[in-house]
Amino acid sequence: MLISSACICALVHTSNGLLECSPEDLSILGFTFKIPFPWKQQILSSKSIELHFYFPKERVSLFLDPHEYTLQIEKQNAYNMLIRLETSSSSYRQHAHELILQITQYTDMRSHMDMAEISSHLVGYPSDAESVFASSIREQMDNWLSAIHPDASWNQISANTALSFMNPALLNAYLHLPAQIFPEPYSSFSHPLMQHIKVLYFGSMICPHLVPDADILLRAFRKALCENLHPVLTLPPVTPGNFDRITDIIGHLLGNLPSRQEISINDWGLLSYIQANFPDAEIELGPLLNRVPRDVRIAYLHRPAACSSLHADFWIHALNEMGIRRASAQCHEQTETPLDLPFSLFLPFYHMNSALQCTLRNAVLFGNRGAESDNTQNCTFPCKSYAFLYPSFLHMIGKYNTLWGFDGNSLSNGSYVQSLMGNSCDRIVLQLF
Amino acid sequence: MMKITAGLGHVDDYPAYIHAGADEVFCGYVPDSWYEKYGMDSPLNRREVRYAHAQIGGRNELLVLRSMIDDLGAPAILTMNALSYLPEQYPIITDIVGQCFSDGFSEFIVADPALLYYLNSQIPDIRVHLSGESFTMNPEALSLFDFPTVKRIIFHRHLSVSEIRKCILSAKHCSEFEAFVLNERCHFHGALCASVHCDELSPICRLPYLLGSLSSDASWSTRKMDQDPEVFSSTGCGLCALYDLDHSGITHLKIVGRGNSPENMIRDIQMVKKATTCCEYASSREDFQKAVKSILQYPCSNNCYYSQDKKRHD
Repeated sequence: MLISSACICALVHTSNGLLECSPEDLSILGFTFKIPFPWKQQILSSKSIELHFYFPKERVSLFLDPHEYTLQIEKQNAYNMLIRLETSSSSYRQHAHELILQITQYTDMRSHMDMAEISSHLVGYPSDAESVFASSIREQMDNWLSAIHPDASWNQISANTALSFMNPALLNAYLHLPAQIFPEPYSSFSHPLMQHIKVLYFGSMICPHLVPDADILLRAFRKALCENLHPVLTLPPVTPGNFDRITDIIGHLLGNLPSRQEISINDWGLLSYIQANFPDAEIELGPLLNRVPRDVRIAYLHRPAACSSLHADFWIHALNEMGIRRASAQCHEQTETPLDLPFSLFLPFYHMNSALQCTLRNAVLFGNRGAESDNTQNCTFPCKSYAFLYPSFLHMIGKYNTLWGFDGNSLSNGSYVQSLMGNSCDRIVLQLF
Repeated sequence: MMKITAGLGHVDDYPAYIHAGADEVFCGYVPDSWYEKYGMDSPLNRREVRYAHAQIGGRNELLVLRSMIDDLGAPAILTMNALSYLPEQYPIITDIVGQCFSDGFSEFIVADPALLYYLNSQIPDIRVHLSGESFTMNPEALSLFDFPTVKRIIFHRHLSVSEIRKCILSAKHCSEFEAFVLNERCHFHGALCASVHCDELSPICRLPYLLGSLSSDASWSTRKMDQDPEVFSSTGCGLCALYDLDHSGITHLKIVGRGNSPENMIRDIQMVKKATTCCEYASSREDFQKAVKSILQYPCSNNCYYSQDKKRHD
């Protein structure tokens, strides 16, 4: 059986050092592996072979002494020799048999089952539940929000609360409300977080079309400042076709406000632009630039706590030199090592993936999410009227050009949030749509 | 003529790909020490699967590949293109890169800006191909990471040809520019994708969904794209845009395919080779598109990359 290098490795100990070899044609009697010509003598007179078998949940190591195996040149071509190892080691046979069985089973599953069924077999994923949807987007959102019951540990959390106004309708509503009154869904959201509102995020971290025009943003910033609230401009990834519009907005806003405004960026190019033109601006590294796997199903894989490049000292130092003093993280149902620099924690919706050629717009306009389209053309905002509905058990939604997970636990379980905050989180960003 | 870079999943396929017309290959190499420590939980590159032949094998196969390159001359670029790594992994990756250097491999595809920064400071002789998934999608972002070690910029296919041109014009150190031409399937942007891609679970983009109204209780299915990887260009094709890509400054064309069958890859390489030859002799875009449609043996899939530029020309 032909086998991939991720399943087994043979470390051949020679007098010239160790050569890591990938077994190919694996059987319970032995396997083949290629060697380059210069290694021929060394391999054929090897001192021992250490085998690493990689199973899904464990690695098994096995040592073979020279008397336990034979090596023969099976064939050669212009580039390598193919060596066949044969062994009568019972341990080898046992593990090889197990590995072959596993691979055969997986191959059979791939040819007879769809991925949901395979996931069910391998990790207990509830494939049957993929056919169960809420009856509507509205019902799905109501179900999520009504299941939130903040526990007593929330009273121990003392970070400032920020409200996100990514939905343009929320921002427009905010502009017409009296001071310190916020639009739905925030106004009826009963949660300890609502006692500490100090910051408002205006703009969009995901889509340039959702960044409001400069005059609207200016009104929003001024209103927030009058209300003793701290406004933050949040900006998305930007392609060249949209870059000028966004930089015009930045220029207009910062040109008409006191200099030390805060901007949450999700684009390296905008960082470069802001550094060059507005060196006094305070910059927050947005959530999209803190890249860890975030997947609603990740619990099925039992992976260790997530950690990104933002935990690396050299990178934090480099970011400091780029003018970045704070970053962002997201609650996403998986434990994540808290950052060491000041950061904002976004919840309960977390970003999973985004499309530059908006999948929602493509689905609405062309009936096909994967249609190729122009991401710079004027958008008619079908996201105001539509969203992608996913099976209920997944706790995810396709809103705007993005697939989001919903971590309801983050709004109920204060201890869980505290574990993600560590010592450096000073702000919780509440993102409701 | 633009060169073809093809994804290599198995070292044995290298000669066939080069003879089919590829000028270069890219492949993953994950040493055993990485699997020993991290398994599949923290992948070194973007192929996180155990059972498919998505990486070349151990160091033995890296050395065999080196001998093939010495004979046939087409280089191999190694992928170290996960979006992010654990802090402890940066020096480990540097050691791996150092070992690869001593085996004759000095060019790497990198997607994590932190890794680019780290390698730039540790291995000045490295030559980096900056992945389209590095989150550098405009000229200003590229300028932030425009290190002398960056030899090539790979553009994500969701940029239009005119946007690619803008980026190329602004590049200072870099002299090579790569664009996707076949088989990159995903609707979502790789730099913005946090989904797992493993043996046990399908990617998030393959999960079932309905389109729902926000103002009523209606929801309905939408058409899923027919994507049969066995069918030429079914998962996406940019061949009609080659003339424009060539004139925008693109030097290399990427055929995605690690994990695809060698037969399909050879077919794809041969088609792209024919198309680049047409491009070489075409006097206009229309001339080229007419020529390429006449030489393609397969029906058009209508899954067109760079179609936003096409619409503008139309």
